[in-house]
Amino acid sequence: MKFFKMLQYDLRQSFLEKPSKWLLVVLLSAFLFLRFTVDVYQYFLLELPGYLQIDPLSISFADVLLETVGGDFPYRGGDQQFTVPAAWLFVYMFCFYFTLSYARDDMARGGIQVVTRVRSKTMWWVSKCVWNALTVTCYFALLYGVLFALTWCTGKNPDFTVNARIFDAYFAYPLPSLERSQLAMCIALCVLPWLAAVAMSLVQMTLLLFIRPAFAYVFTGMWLVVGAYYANELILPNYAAGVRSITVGIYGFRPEVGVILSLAFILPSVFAGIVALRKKDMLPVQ
Amino acid sequence: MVIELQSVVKQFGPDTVLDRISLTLRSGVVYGFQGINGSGKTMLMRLISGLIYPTSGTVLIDGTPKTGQNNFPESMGLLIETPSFVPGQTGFENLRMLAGIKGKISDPEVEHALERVGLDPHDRRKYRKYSLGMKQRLGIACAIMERPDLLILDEPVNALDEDGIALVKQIVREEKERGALVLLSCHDFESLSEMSDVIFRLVAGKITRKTVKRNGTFVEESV
Repeated sequence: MKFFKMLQYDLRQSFLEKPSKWLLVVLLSAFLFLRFTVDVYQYFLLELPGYLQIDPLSISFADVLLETVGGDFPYRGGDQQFTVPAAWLFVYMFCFYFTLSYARDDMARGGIQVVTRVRSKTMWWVSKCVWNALTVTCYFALLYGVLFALTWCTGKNPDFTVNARIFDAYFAYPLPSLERSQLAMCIALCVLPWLAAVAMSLVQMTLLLFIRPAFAYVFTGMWLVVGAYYANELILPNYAAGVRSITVGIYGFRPEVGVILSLAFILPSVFAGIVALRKKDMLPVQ
Repeated sequence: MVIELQSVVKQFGPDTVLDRISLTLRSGVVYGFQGINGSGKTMLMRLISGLIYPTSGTVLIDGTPKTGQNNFPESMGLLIETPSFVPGQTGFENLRMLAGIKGKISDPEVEHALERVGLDPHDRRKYRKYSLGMKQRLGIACAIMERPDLLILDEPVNALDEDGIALVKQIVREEKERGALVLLSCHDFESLSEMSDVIFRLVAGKITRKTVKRNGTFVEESV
């Protein structure tokens, strides 16, 4: 009971206190959708007039996700010039900004009243972990929700069928012809990016117990960039880029490994925080 | 309740903020801590409240040493530095939410705590609209509402006008009569001496003087 009261406090304090920040997520999602729409029509209607007309109904929610938050291919060597997928990076860094400083600030502010009543730093930390995961979940739910709503409202196909021509145009790579189930695509494009984000956000929050917020934020950013550069099954951000999923078929990142890897970061983060707080002072940020 | 500090030291890197402090504090007595900024008053209160750990030495509450897992006193009201609450809620909503964690007191008791500090429990203004003095009063109400055995008030008269200071003095008197162990810190020696039974002077993390009130006047005792 005490735990839920504490969680209720966390949600009130940070979740509902500044609703305007959620509006920013809506605006970001709308901007990403608009950018995608402009890009597609510019490419197919202006650059290739009369050659490759795209029927709006053949553009799907999966295309929107792949080209807005799906990331990009890693560095493949040779003449290829590596560019960080800016929109993808921004989506994640914006999310991690949401969860950056609350726990640390609360440790020296209102959280004092809560933790001394609950008399357990462990409970305080677990509440922050749940709050963190809920915040990331809401962020992604809103992001996907807005993208889905705009996909549907603009007469596009609200499912997970990938359009090969758009894929080819965007990634300059042919889409392998594979059987892709709707569920597998949903896991690759929605579930795994969310789960990887929860894991990275929790690692960031745990780091805040030891280092300054700016350093933790830079660390998370570097982690994403390293993931964008290297295709490696053990680098978590690879699972945050849906385009690299085995379901899409170009890279072999398996969802089950993504889930295990995410849990391998989530659980130790929770545990590390519990252990660290046993000896850590609750003080204002100096 | 008896709180014992046995040769407690607190260091942050090379800085010693509390230096071999040994004290015994008992229920029904008001203890005042006096000292300039940075003398260690707030750190001592944080340490007693369980928010920080001693680098060495022991803190015992009723004979039980405080450890990593059992660090917070069971019944404690706390005001440390500037109070902080949920800005989008009223004073009553904030206190009701905090009181709900322990579930020891009812809504009328929360209202009573607000009235004791001179705040209107039915005031619909959000905390963010409160003046500094109102925030301080709300912090005090939060500390006293659950009738704690240990009441820690760090700079309780900060930002308060004369009426507010008089209210704090009355509250401290009432809490003492109830049998609470009260710890106070204050810049203003006059206010502190009016409220306290025993005053400790802190200089650079050390207790340099202890004065005890006897028949209305303070008598110096060995530290």
